[in-house]
Amino acid sequence: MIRLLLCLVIALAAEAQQAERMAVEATQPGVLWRAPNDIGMENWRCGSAGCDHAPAPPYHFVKEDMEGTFPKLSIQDAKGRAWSVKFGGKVIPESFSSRFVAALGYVVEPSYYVGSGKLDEVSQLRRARNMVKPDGTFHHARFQLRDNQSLQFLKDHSWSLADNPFRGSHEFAGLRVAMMLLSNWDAKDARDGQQQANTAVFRGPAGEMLYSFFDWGSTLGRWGKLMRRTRSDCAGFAEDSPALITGVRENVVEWGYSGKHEDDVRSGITVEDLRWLAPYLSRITDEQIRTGLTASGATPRQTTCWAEGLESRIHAVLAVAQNGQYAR
Amino acid sequence: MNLRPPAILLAVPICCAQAQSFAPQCSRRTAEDYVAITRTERVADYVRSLTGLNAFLYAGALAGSDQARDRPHEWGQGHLGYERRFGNDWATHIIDTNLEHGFALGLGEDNRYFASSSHNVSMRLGYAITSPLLARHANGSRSVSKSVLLGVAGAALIAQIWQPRSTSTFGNFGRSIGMTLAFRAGLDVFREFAPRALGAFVQ
Repeated sequence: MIRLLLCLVIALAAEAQQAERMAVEATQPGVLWRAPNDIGMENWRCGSAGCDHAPAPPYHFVKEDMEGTFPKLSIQDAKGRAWSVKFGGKVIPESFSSRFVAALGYVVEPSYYVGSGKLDEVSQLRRARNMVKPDGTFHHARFQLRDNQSLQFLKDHSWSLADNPFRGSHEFAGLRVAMMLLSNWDAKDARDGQQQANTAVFRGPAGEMLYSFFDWGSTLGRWGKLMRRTRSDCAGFAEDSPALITGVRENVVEWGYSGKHEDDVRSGITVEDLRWLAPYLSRITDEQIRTGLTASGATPRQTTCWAEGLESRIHAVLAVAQNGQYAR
Repeated sequence: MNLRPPAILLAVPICCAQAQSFAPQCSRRTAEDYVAITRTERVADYVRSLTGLNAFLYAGALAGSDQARDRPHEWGQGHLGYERRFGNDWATHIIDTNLEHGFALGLGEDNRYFASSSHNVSMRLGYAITSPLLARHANGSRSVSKSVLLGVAGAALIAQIWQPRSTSTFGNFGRSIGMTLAFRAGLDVFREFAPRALGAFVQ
């Protein structure tokens, strides 16, 4: 009987807590963007959350995650923090893009590049068996922090590029410009289903609802549909760069970008939107970009190639912001 | 003898080449840029292999070469003879593509071409010539491509079904394998050394 009463009390308490949380969510305005601090060289070198939060070896293998397209593991580091470790074509794009997007003030999960390391007690790997040797050593991995204290992923929440509280705002336009600057063709959102969506809502430390485009792995390549798009392809990225902006018509910027939900990504961005973004974009230096790319696993050749492409894209955006028109 | 179709096919990439300039670091996707192939990239590669210009080039050039040598003589000359030869080579290519991509998926092999990262001409030439026989794996390592060998040999074997008497021989089977691999080596040499705008036509 006492046990039953105890269960009842716990259930009621949990329900009250849930109701309180939902009430907070209902009153909390959503946040898409926050004025970025000048994140400094350390974050470009180590990762978007700084060197203090970088993964600390030794790494303890927890399980293999079979969701998604790429081999992925759940691990724990020496400080007891949980990480999602990914291998393959998304490593450089996610490691670099998270730095870039955070520098512009958008919410991303901290991602770090780990050139090589060793996992303890690895067993029964399936998709990741080619990436992790039987003794646990691995190379070229992206570690993404799973920290429920600072960013709690809300499983039942998502949002779409076509329907969200930020439509028409400079902040939302800025996010879409960032997507095009990085050639992010995989703009799946709530319309593609909860499992597929690359848009998410996190609960921040103060209970605020943080709207985020969280998957930046399909970047730094050629934009486009199935037959054209690539990721982690510096030659393709450079090839597309001159076509980022194709014109300005009646104060609305026209873009060469294509990809998933392309109309929702590229349409309705005005010169004023670019003027709003310009101060934050112009703050990112050539040195920061190159440091970020190298620290994300790019070779010297790739760093030069990606950096030149990205800088030319940034210059094109800043030129339109300044002149109000596009000159090829 | 009618060599017009292959001549037209060969002329397309040359006349349509655009004068584009890329920084030397960005001029091509090299082996250094290799990332493991995904399922959707496999689908795109499969569709490209079936419908891409290189498939038409291969069938067109081989049919032209056989037409010039009247091989097999049972298929005659003129438009009809060329069409039969082109159809034979095209059908063999379709079978080869299906077998090769199926085996590659099962074996986890990636047969796409990535340009050499080397600056040495002879190294690049050797890399391009051996590329058709080597596959990449998810971790970037390379080994002999079982899917290519099985695909090419399987298609050559199946094509024996419709060969006329003069070419329905073990020698022709071997010749078909050799021609396919030689064409691919030639194509990879072209991809390696041709300007990017031209090379893109046969990616």
